[in-house]
Amino acid sequence: MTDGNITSLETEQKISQGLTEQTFWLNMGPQHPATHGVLRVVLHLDGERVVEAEPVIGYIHRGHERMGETRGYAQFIPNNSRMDYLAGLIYNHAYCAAVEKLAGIDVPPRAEYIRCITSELNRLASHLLWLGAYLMDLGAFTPFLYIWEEREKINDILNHVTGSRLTYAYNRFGGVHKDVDDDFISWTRAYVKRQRKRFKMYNRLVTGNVIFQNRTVGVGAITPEQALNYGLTGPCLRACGVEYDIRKKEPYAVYSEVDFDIPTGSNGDAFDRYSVRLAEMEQSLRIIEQCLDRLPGGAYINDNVPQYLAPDSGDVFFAFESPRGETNIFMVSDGSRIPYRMHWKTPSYSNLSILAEIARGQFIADVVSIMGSFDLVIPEIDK
Amino acid sequence: MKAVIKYFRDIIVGGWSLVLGYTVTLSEFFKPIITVQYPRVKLEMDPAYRGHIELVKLPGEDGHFCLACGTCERACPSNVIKIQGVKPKAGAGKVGIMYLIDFSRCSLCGLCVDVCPVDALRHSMEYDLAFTSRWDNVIDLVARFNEPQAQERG
Ligand code: SF4
Ligand code: SF4
Repeated sequence: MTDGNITSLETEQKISQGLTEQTFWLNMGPQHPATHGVLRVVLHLDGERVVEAEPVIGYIHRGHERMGETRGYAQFIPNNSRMDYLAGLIYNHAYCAAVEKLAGIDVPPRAEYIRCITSELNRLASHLLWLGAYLMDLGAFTPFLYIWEEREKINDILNHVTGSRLTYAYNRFGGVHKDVDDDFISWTRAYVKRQRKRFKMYNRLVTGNVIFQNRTVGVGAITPEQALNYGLTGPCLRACGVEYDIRKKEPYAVYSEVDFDIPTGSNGDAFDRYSVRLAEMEQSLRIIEQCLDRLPGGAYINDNVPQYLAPDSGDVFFAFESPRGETNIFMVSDGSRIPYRMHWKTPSYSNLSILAEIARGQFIADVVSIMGSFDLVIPEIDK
Repeated sequence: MKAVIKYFRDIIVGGWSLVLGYTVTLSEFFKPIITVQYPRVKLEMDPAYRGHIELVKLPGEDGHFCLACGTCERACPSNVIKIQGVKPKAGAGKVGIMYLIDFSRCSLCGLCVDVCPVDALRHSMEYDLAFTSRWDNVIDLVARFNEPQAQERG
């Protein structure tokens, strides 16, 4: 051992003594691959342990609500898909349903069924994307490629009927802008069949995997009380064992007519959120199948909707289930062609708020796992 | 003793889960390749695809149908469209002579196509559009319509 090494040993000791006393700040994001968007989490660290985690939002605020208050009702349709870019059709569907409720527009039954089918396909695509991206956060690259193959199938199906792959703008007031054809129906049926088989593959590849289990079981556990206090919704809430799904509790569209279950977990940890989403995908397949079986004929859009809508003064509240949880729309009309007030309450915002509490005392690597399991979509938090 | 049993059980169960995973990845080796070598290979576009808008060109028809009424201009949420029309002779209806779109602002929502009273608009099939200047995004649809390679679709 040389002299140099002895001094370095001393320095090391000094440093390690210093480290036990010192904590430091680390910025995770706004450009971090694990935040999936421009979210910044300020981590107050003691070594590898998190003392405090503070999410900072607002990096992708585009003022969608304000935009909605400066343009006509129909002109806000393209904005919907850009709020939550993974659930464009669901937001589209809900916005149109809210305006229809406000203006008292009838929707033909065929349109309602088409909306349900496309919304559920969109929910599946969103969950599949989450699954792939989450596993990649945890360091597994292969499942990502396999899972996105199915997502590609959904995108092809939706492209065939809506004409685009991510920002759909497919729903219109009083229906949808294009009818579905036989190709769509047969492709969707084939997809449902194929997806059922693929779940077995996911289970073999992912669910039982020892690394995945170690990274998720017991990580970021949330109690039902905590979840309710922070206003969590969607799979994050259901993973805690609370059975709450807007599609069942306040059914809109044709969700009251189809038969499906609300999958719940028990421990509220990252693994339960994973299993709940997988189970939810199977329920979505069931909904799609039933809707396809019952798809009625007739018109796909109500032709009597004026181009420039001017609903009577009043307000409307509409709640719907997006892949991330309960989303609410509140709109006030003053009788003009432009909404007087538009407000959206999006689920990722409340889901993120609990991060500060449950990340305390965890390792940095677990914070990535926890945040990933929330399925955050940052543009939807900021709007 | 319990700890020892648990230790070995974890190794066996964990190891077996990895073996199961590898059987999946191994079987994928023998499946057909689904990746497309873009841009050397291109996929067939779905006829429903919504590209930027263009004026409808029908087989057997000379001109476009745009009346320069401006309905699409007003319906567009992003002020993409600017139209100029002239009356070819006194008493005749207007005809669009210039139809500018700024594609960089277009959200491809299709509201303009929906509202056109004479169905003069449709979505084109163009997709890989990338320009070096933002002014290249400004396209005159009437000029594009008159180009010989403009597609005729029924
Ligand atoms: S494209 Fe249609 S809506 Fe637009 S100006 Fe021409 S005729 Fe009017
Ligand atoms: S597709 Fe939408 S954004 Fe584009 S020009 Fe038409 S109305 Fe405007």
